[in-house]
Amino acid sequence: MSQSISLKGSTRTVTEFFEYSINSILYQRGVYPAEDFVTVKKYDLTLLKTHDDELKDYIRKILLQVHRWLLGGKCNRLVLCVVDKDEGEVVERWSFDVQHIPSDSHGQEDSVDLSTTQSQIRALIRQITSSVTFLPELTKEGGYTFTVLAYTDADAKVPLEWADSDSKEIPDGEVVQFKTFSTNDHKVGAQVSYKY
Amino acid sequence: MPENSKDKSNSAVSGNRSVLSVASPTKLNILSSDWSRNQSKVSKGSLKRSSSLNVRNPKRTSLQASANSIYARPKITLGAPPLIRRDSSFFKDEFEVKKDKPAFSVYPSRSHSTIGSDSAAPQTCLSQPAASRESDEQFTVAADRYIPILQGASQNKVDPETLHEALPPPNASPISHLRAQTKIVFKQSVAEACGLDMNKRILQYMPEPPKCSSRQKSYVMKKRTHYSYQQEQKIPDLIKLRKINTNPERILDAPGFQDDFYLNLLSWSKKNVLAIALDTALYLWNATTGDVSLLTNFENTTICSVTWSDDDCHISVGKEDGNTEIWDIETMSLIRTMRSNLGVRIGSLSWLDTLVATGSRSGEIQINDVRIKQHIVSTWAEHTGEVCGLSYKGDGLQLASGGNDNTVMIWDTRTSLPQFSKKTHTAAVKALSWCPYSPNILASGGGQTDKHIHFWNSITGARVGSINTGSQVSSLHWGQSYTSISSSTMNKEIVATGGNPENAISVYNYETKFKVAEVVHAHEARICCSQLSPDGTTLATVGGDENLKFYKIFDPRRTERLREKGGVMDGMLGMIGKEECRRNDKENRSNNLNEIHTRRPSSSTSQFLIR
Repeated sequence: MSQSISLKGSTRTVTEFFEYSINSILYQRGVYPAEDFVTVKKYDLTLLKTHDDELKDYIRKILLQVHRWLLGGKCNRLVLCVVDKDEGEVVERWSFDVQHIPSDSHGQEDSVDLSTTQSQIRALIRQITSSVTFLPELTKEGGYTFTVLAYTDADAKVPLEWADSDSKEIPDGEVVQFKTFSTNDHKVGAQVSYKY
Repeated sequence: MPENSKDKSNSAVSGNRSVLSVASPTKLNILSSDWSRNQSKVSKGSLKRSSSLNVRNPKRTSLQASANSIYARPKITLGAPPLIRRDSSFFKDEFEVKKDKPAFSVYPSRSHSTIGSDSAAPQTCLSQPAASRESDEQFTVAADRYIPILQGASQNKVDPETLHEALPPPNASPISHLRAQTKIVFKQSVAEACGLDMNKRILQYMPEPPKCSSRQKSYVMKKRTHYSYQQEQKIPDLIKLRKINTNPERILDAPGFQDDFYLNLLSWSKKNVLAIALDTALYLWNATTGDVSLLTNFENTTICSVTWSDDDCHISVGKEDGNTEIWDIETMSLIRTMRSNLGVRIGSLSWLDTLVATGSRSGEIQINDVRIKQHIVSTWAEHTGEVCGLSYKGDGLQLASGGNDNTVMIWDTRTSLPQFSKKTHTAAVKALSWCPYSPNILASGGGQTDKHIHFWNSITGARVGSINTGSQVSSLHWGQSYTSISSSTMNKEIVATGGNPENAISVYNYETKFKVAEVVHAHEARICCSQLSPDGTTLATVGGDENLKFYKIFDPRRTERLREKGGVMDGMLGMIGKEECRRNDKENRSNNLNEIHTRRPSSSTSQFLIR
């Protein structure tokens, strides 16, 4: 059991996963130009991460808050919407569900090994990356931006930058469910819905 | 029961209801909240299902239609009515059932439903108008079965803890318990109907994501792997504010100078001759001697751009009619007129050996070869606004252009295609300057509404830094300073000239992006053009107030050779006739030598010019 991780570590894993998946989605979907990204080795994969300071800072600020919520168990979903700049219409909606597994519910036998988590994350990121193949092409070059939603509990502390919003669902959108990964304390699933 | 026979359709309804109520006693608490939601979300599907159960109902079609409309606008139209209905009919049903058998045992559904339909339902239903019946029915259809909905079950139901507060004391009657619960459920349904949720919030991160800086154009150098070089973070030394003389070294009058942001009317040659266009006339001012000479006066066409050639013996003049003239300074004569055939003014020029790039008002960039008769070797029409900034990189492989379409383009001169097209600026881009220290850094400055300087890596196309100047950027020049006379650490600096509100000359440190020095109110009107002297120390600025001022901004650049003492002084910079100037001068000369070495050996242009 030496390889299992605590709640703090588990939260960090989840946040880190968010960071890399947001980065890869922004790159894969061409929300930001390719030259703003550099390759990094992570999860034994070659992933792309932005090196534009402004964007880095923006993502960091979001995830810092999400991390806090996750630690308190207040956040159960993170959504990244790719938005058409001109029409303000949501064209893709990447949703990550976070399920908290109360620490007393699982016994010793079903605690998740760190390497298992890593390989699950790897599989999930691969799936996200490969989803470009079936997603409709975003034709307007540089005409997209993104926005981030967090689903929290009613009693979560909310900083000034965050404001209530609707769910920005895509009406009649096609939904594709991805794999999940789990750590000792969290189970994270992903799905994308897009305008069909 | 006599009424039973009268009510055939009703029995069908109650039969239908019997199916649903299988689960109802067990999840009494939840059902009410689940059901109103189910209606909005699942109604379509469940309707289909019930039709497959083959329950005949004359109202089915109308019901489906209404359900469809519900599906389109789920929240507002439907949330409330079933709830009001609830305590009137269905609840009574269930209530009576409960009265019969108060224990919460799960009994067979059939018996339960028959009790319900036989005793209470027919009467109440009959007494109701048809419309309410319909909604009642809808309810029954919607809550067809207990279908766990992931989202609903996990997040949407009433938190037992909040429920607790509103609950009546434990010794209260079951009716009051039920009422209390209904109240809470009602509250929740109203909240839900308004698109709100009691226990969940959806929060959006409100700040705008950074602007998508650019997009790569058609041309890609080569597919290559990117490597991330982890640069160790050096903590920059504390930058001391620099002291610069805020009084100009010299002021000259420039009557008739055109106060137009888009024109480039000033040029300073390495032979220390400053050319300035005043309306239709071109004047040369020799900074060494202070002599002024009139090169030409076109009388009826204004001059829009002036640039010295690389050999400093020729000067190109872009005019309003679209022609570019090349003048020889030695003989003070016109050598060649190159016609753009565009009929619009040429607002920017840049030399590369024997090539002159001209930027026109209509957005075309023409590359002219001064040696050949058909001088236009290529035309690049990518800009959609006036090209007001043009600058060849030192090695001639790239050309930077800035336009009134808020775009900076970096062209590959070998392929004649834009390598990068950057749309980060939000105003016209006139100021362009290649970094002399690291050859792939380009600085670009935006106009009145943009106020930013952006630094670009011209190989990768990435933006490597930005400065908000708080004023339009009409020109940019790189320079350097030294923290002390003895220290050898050079601070890379960049100077920007501005307009409203302060008409200031601002000096920024490139590493830290901090402003290290400033001359506020350098001019009474906005500064239109500026040029750096050949020794790189003095900035000549000309503004809308028709003054040409000289400010000493930078320290002279030090090179290894300069460390040795000695040498002769030739009063190259006559304008700064001070003792300190001697040292500058000397450095300046060797500087020039250096520059000639570092630049491509500039084959003298004059040889090739067509006479």
